[in-house]
Amino acid sequence: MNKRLFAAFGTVVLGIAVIAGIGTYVAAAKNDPGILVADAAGTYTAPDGKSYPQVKLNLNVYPNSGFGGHHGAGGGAHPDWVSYGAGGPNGEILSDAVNGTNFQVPPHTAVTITVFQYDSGETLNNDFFAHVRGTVDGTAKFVKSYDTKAKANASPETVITNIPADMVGHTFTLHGLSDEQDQLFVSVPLMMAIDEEVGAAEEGATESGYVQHPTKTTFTFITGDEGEYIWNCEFPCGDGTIARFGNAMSAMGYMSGHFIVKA
Amino acid sequence: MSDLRSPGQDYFQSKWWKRKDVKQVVVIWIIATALIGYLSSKIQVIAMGNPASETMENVIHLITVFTWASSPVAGFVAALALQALSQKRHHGDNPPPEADHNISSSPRATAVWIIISALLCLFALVVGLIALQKDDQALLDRSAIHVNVTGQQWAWNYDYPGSTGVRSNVLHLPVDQPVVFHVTSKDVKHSFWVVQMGVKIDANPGYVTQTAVTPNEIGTFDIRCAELCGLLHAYMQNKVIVESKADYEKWLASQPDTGHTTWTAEGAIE
Amino acid sequence: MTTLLNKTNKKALIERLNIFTAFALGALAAIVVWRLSLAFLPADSESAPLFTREDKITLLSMIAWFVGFMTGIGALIGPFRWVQGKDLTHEENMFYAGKDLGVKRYFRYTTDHKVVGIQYLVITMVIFGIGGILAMLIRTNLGTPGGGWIHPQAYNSIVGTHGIIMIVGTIIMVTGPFGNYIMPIMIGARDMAFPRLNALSFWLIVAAAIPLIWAQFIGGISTGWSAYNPLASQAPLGMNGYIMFICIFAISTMVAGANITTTVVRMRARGMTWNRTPIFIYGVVASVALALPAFPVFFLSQVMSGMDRALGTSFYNTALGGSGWLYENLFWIMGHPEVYVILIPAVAALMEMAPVFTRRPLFSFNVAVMGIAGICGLSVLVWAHHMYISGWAPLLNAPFMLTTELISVPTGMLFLVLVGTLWRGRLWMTVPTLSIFALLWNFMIGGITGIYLSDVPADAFLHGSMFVTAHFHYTLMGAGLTGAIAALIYWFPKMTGKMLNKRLSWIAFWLTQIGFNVAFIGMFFVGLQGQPRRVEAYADIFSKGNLITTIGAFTIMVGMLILLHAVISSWRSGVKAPMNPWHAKTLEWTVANPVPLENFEVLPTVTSDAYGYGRSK
Repeated sequence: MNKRLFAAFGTVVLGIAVIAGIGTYVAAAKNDPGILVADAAGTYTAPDGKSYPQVKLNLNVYPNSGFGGHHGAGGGAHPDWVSYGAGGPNGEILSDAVNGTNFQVPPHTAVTITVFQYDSGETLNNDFFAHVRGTVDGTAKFVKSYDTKAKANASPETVITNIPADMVGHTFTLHGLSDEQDQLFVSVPLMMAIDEEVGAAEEGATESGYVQHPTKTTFTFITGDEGEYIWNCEFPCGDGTIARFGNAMSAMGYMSGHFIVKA
Repeated sequence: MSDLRSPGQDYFQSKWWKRKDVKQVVVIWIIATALIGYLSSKIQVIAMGNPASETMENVIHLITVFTWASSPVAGFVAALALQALSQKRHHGDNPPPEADHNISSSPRATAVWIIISALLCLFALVVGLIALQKDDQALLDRSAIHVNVTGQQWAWNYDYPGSTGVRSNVLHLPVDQPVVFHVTSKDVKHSFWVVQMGVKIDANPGYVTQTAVTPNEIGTFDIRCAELCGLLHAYMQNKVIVESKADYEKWLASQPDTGHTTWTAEGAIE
Repeated sequence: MTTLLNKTNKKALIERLNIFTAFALGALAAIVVWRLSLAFLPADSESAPLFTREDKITLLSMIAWFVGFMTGIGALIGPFRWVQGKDLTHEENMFYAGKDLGVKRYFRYTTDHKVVGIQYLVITMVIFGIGGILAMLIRTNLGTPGGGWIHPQAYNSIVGTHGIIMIVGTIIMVTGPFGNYIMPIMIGARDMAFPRLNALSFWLIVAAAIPLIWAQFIGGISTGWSAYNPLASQAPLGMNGYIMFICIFAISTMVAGANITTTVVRMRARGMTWNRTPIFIYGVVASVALALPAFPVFFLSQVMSGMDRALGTSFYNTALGGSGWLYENLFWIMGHPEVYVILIPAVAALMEMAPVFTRRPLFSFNVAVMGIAGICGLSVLVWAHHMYISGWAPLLNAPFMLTTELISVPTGMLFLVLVGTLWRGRLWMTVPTLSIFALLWNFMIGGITGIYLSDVPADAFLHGSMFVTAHFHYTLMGAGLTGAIAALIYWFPKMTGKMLNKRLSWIAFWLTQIGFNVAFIGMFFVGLQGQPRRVEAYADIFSKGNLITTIGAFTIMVGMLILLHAVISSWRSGVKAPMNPWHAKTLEWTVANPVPLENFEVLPTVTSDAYGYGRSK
C-alpha cells in the first residue's frame, strides 16, 4: 500500500513539473521587452512655483516595426505592425534598442516625454482623446514639422491643449487600476506626420525610409506615490479588424506597455 | 442513539414527531439554519463593504434576505445529511445488510416539500419584483441630471450635458442628486459598473443603454469594466468622485470648454 | 486478419484506416488547401471593411483538415457503400465492431458501444487534464495582484480555452463514457441504435480538438469561452479555430443525442417500461435531448460569426446593420440549456448510486423524473437571465426572472430524492457515497447563489463579477464533476474489470473537495467585493481572496493528479473486480467481466424496477 502511495506522490510531482514547464513556456512566450528606466535630467519648476526632480523619456512612433528596436532585427514576428519604440533625443531611430514600451520613473517626479511621430493618421473614433489631459497645466508643446536631418524644428513650437480630431496619428494614454494607488491619468494626442510623402518620394532622403519631418510633441506630468500603470494608444490603428483595435493594438510591446512608478 | 442503530419493532408504529431521529433532525436543523444564515449573511455584508447609494443598500438587503430565506432549506438538507451520517456506517468490501424498510415514496413529504419550495420561489420573485420596480422608476426621475458614458478599449470617459462641453476621465457626481447614465461604446461591448453604487449596464456599440442611481455618500468609489473587452480589460477602470453640490458646481466651472456639444436635450449621445 | 474481408491476401481499405491515416490525411488536406488558397485567393479590396483573406485561408484549411481526418478514419466508407447500393457485409460489420482486434480497436472507427465508451472516458480525462493545466496557469497569474506573469492577451486566450474545453469536457463526461458504455447494457440492448453514428460522434470530437489546439498558435481565443461579438470579430486568427471547434463539436453532440435518444426509446429490454427504467437512463436521455435543440443554435451562431470574419457579412456588426445582441441571444439559447445538459446526468448518476449504497429503494422515483423533466422544460425559457444588464430588452427582465426562479422548484425535487434516499438508509461508506454528500453541499451553495443571480437588482451588482464564476464552478464542478467522478468509481469495475484503488480515491476525494471549497468560497468573496471576471490584474483589496483561491486550486490539482494515478494504476494492475461488486440490481451487473462483444447472449426480460432494496417492514 505504501508503495502505491509513493507512486501516487510521483505522479503528483510529475504533474506539477508538467504544469511548471508549460507555465514557463507560456510566460516566456510573452516576449516582453525590457524596462526602460528614464534618465534623470535636473529639476523642473512647475508653473505654480513648486520644483520637482525631472526625468526624460524620448520615444518614437513608427508606421511599422521594421525599424527593429525591441522587436528584434527586421522587426521581429510582425514587421508590418505599427509600434512605439525608444528613440534618440532628436528623433533618431534606435534599431538596436532592447526596450521601448515598458518604462520606469521615480515617484513625485516631473516626467517629460518627447514623442516623434512618424506615422500618418486619420480621424479618432472618440474626440475625447484629441485633447491633452493630465499634464502640467493641461498643455503640451508641439512642433508640426521637425527636421530629423538638420536636428532642428522646421516649424515653430506652439503650446497646445488639443489638436484636430481628424489629424491624429496616435495617442499616449496612461492609466491604471482603480486602487489605493494614485490615479494617474495622462492622455496626449500625437498629430500625424504632415509630409508623409517625403520619405517615399525622395528615396534615400532618410536612411530608415520613414518620413524626414515627423511631428514632435513634448509633455510633462508629475507622478504621485509608487504604483504600476499601463499605457496604450487610443487611436484605432490596428488595421483590419473591427473598430481597428486588433493586431498591434491587442499585443503588448507595440501600442501599449507597462509604466512603473518606483523609486 | 442505540435504538436507531437497531430500530425497535415499533418504530414505524409510533407517531412520526415522537421518533428520535426526527427530533435529532429538528435540533440540527435549527442550529444549522441559524449558523448558515448568520455566518453567510455576515460574510456577505463584510465583503460588499459600505454602500454608496440606496440602490446598493437594496442589493445588500436583498442578498441578506435571500440568505436568510434559503438558510432553512440549506439547514434542513444539512440536518438530514448529518443525521444520515450519524447512523450506523458500514465500511468494507461487502455491502451492509439491507435497510430495515423499503419505503419508496411519501406523498405527504413530497407535497409539503414542493409546496414550500414553490412558496419560497414566490417569495423571492415578489421581493425581486419590488426592488426591480424601484430601479425602473429611478430612470424616469425628472429631477435627475444626465451623464453620457462612453466606453472605448480600454478607458471610460464622461460628458456632462448642460455644462459648457465638459468631459472627463474621472466621473464627478453631486451627492444626493439622482443621475441617469446614458451608456454606449465606441468599439466592442463593455459593461459600466459603479461598484459601490450597485449599478451596472452594458455599453453596446451603436446603442445607448440607461441606468440610474442616486449617490448618497461623499467619497471616492470605483468604476470597473465588467465585460471582457480585449487586451487591457483588467485596466479599464477609474474612479467616481462624489462631492457636495457646491464642490461639484465649482469643479464643473473650472473645466475647459471642449466645444463638444453633440448631446440632445434628453442627454443621449448624438 | 488479412483474408477476412475480401478473401484475398490484399488488405482491404477498411482494414488499413485508423487514427494514423486519419491524422496523415487530415494534415495533408490542410496543407494542400492552405497552399492553394494562399496562391489563388484574391487579395482583399481596399474598401473591404474587415481584413478577411487570412480568415478565409485559415477556415478553409481547417475545413480541409476536418474532411481529410474524417475520410482518413473511415467515416465515409459506410455512406459511400450505401450510395453504391451495396451495404457492408456481416464480416465487415463485425470488423467495425472491433471483433478480435485487441487494443487496435481503440484507434479505429470502431462501432462497439463499449469501445466508444472507453474512448470517451480517455478523451474526457485528456480534456480535463488540459483544462486543469490551463486553470493552474490562470490561478498562478492571479496569485499576485499585478498579474503580468503571462501576456494579457495570452491570459485572455487561456481563460477562453479553459472555459470552452471544460464546458465540452463536462458535457461529455457522463453521457460520453457511461452513456455509451453502461447505458445500452443497463437497458438490456446489444448495442446502440446507430453504431456507426456512435463512432462518428466520438471521432468528430477528436477532429474538433485539433482546430482548438491549432488556434493557440495563431493568436488564441482572446474572447473568453462565450466569444461575444463584436470582440470575436476583432480577435486574432485563432478565433477561427474556436468557430471550427464549436461547429464540429455541435455536430458530434447532435449525432450522439439522436443516437442515444433513439436507443433508449426503441431498444429497452422486454418488460422495461418507463416506470422500470433506471433513473440514470432518464438523466442521460434528458441531457442529450436537451442538447438536440440547443446545439444547432450554437452551430448557427458560430457559422454566422465565421461569415462575419471571413466573408464580410454583418450579422453582429452594428456599424453595418447587425447586432451583438443577436449573438448573445443565440449563444445563451444554447448556453443555458447546456448547463443542465452537464448537470442532469451527473445528478442522475448519483441518484442511481444512492439506493445501492444506502440499501433501500430510491425515494420517490416519480419525483425524480418530474424534477428532471421540469428542469428540461424550464431551462429552454431562461436564457435571457444572462442578459439582464445587456440593455437588450429591459422589459423582459421580470418574465425571465420568473422562469429562472421557477427552476428552483424542480431542482428542489432532485434534492428531495437524494436526502429522502439517505433517510434511514444503511450507509455503505464508499467514495460514491461521500460524493452524494459532497454534491448536496456543493449544489446547495451553487443553487442558492443562483437565486441571488436570478434576481435582477442583485444581478446588476453581481453580473460579470467573480461571484458568477464561483457560482457556476459550484454547480458544474462541485455538483457535476463530483457526480461524474463518483460514476467513474462506481462503473470502473464493469468498464475495466478492475476495482479502483480505494485509499487513493479516498485521498483524492477529500483533497479535491476541500481544495474546491477553499478555492471557490474565496472567489465568492472577491466577487462580492467587486472583482470583475476574466481580469489579468486586480486591485490590492482583492489580493487575500485571490491568494486563498489559488491555494485551493493547487490543492484540487494535487487531488486530481492522485485520482489520475489511481485510475491509471488500477486499470493496469488493480484488484480484479467481481461481476457485481456493489451488489446492485441494474442489468449492467448481470453481464460478465469483460463484457462480451454483444453484451447478452439472451436478451433479458425485466419484471420490476431496479430499486428493490430494503426489507419490507
